[in-house]
Amino acid sequence: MDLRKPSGMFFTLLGFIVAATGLVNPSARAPLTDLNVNLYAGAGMLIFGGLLLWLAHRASR
Amino acid sequence: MTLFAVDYIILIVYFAFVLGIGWYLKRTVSTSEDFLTSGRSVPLWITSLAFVAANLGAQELIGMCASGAKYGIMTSHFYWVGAIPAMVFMGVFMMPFYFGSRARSVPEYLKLRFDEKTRAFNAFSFAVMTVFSSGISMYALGLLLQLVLGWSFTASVLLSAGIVLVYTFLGGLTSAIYNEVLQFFLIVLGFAPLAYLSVQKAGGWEGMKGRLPAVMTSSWQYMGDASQNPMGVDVFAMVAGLGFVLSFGYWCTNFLVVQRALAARNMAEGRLTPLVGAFPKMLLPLVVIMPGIAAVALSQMGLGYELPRKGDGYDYDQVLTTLMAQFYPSGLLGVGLTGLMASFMSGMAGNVTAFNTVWTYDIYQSYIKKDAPDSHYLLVGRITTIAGVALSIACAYLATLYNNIMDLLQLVFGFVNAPLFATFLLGMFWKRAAANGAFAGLISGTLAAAATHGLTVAEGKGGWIATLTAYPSTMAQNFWIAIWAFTVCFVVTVLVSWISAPKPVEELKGLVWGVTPIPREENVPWYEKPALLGVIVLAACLVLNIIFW
Repeated sequence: MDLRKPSGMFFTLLGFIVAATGLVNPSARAPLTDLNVNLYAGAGMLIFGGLLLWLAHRASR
Repeated sequence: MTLFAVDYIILIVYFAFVLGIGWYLKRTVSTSEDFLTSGRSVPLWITSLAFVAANLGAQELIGMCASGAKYGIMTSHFYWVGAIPAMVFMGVFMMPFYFGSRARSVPEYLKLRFDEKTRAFNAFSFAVMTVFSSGISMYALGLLLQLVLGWSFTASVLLSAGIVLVYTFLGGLTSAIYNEVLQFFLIVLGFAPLAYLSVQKAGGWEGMKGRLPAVMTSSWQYMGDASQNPMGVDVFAMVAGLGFVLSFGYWCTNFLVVQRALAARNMAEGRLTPLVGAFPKMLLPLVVIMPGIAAVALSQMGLGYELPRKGDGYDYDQVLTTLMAQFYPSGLLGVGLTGLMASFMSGMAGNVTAFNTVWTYDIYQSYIKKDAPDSHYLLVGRITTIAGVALSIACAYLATLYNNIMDLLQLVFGFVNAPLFATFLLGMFWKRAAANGAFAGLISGTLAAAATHGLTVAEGKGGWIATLTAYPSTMAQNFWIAIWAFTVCFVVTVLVSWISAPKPVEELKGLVWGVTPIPREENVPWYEKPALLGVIVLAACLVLNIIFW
């Protein structure tokens, strides 16, 4: 098993869920945050997941 | 802290993935070696991250953040003085013997190099320690979830232990290791935003320096005298006790981590495992310690954040979760909480997989049933996995009697791993070291650890024989226990070896320096040369020490 595939899928899914939460509820804030951290962190996870999937895809060719 | 549907969904998705990986890897297990040692088939990037992740349990995550708040950046010594040099030593100097011996476990190496009784001593003490460690970790998690989310202690302990049991039972060590990598990513992605947000809110590192007493933000300047810093430790105790004995003992002889390196495909990758792992490891303090320090600064800024209290003191073990509540809205909060779960599971799976290997090969196969077919040992390995989890749960309830998790853990390591490093050092680098010497050294080293604890007092702990010295902190006491255990083991091993018959040199092939072929790396690129990589790691680590001087 190429571990990059399931972990890539996991973080893409996770990033999607978190970023979507940020989009649906853009004004959600924790007591000490000023930004829409869900959107940014979610986007970061999406990128990381996508990178893993891309690496796995490249290796399998 | 309140969770919403999205947070639970994230947690469930994570559970589904770790179980799915275990289910998928089920097909790779057909022999006991597949189940217990991964059949030496795991790629380098995975073994290196698992090497780091197996140590990154919940008590490490919670404890490092707690220590950050209590002691400041001095906590980084656990990484930049402790772990990193030890990992380099492991990769460059020790792996050739572990791999050269073809041993399946640390106790088995002791059997090959010394004798049966040395193996038995190590196997039994290690088995007890792993069960104990994973119990403490489980306790930490259960308590925290109860406190923060109101979840039942029993329910969260049983659920998380049950999931670890299922995926290690299905896919064995491979499943544990693969999941550790997923968990490592999740821990970093789940807590890096917290580190960034909390440090930024506290005014960045420079802003924190301005707000906090200088002793919290300099790692070395107040180490000259134990009374100057809150850890109550001086340079000697720090470097010799933590940096040398405890860390080298842990990273070089603790089968929990050594097992990850032994799962590598060949000796070259086995040697590179701790060296490659050292890079993410040395950056972890920025994620796990920094939020703790930032929390103290934040509590002085009138933002409404206060350090969690218990009675008339602070409850540092809750710093991490109170910060999460302050900085993570629902969504990211689910990720952070899942990261905490993941760290717990990676630590526990590490303990369980090390426990079942030592039990099956070093205790069951050696003393209970010697010549059974392999399928029998596979079955024993599987049953031991269940037993290990059950015993850990029992220890979790036992651990409720103790308070500071980190200190207790250090104390246990002091008893088990500190003398052991002296045994390995002599065993691997001195041909004359004899079996009786090693055994006498280990026993007397362990007794010396117990005696040091019984003869010294710190924060009201120890001194159950008499009080010869008082240390300013239990941490200083633990470091000195380790130093004494190591020294006594070293001296006794040397003395007894001198008066006993040496092992014939032919029997030492592959086990000792001088009679073990060290692979030459003439045709490999620079980044695959262990010695060169080790120098780069140490240089980078030195730079970090200077930055936070």
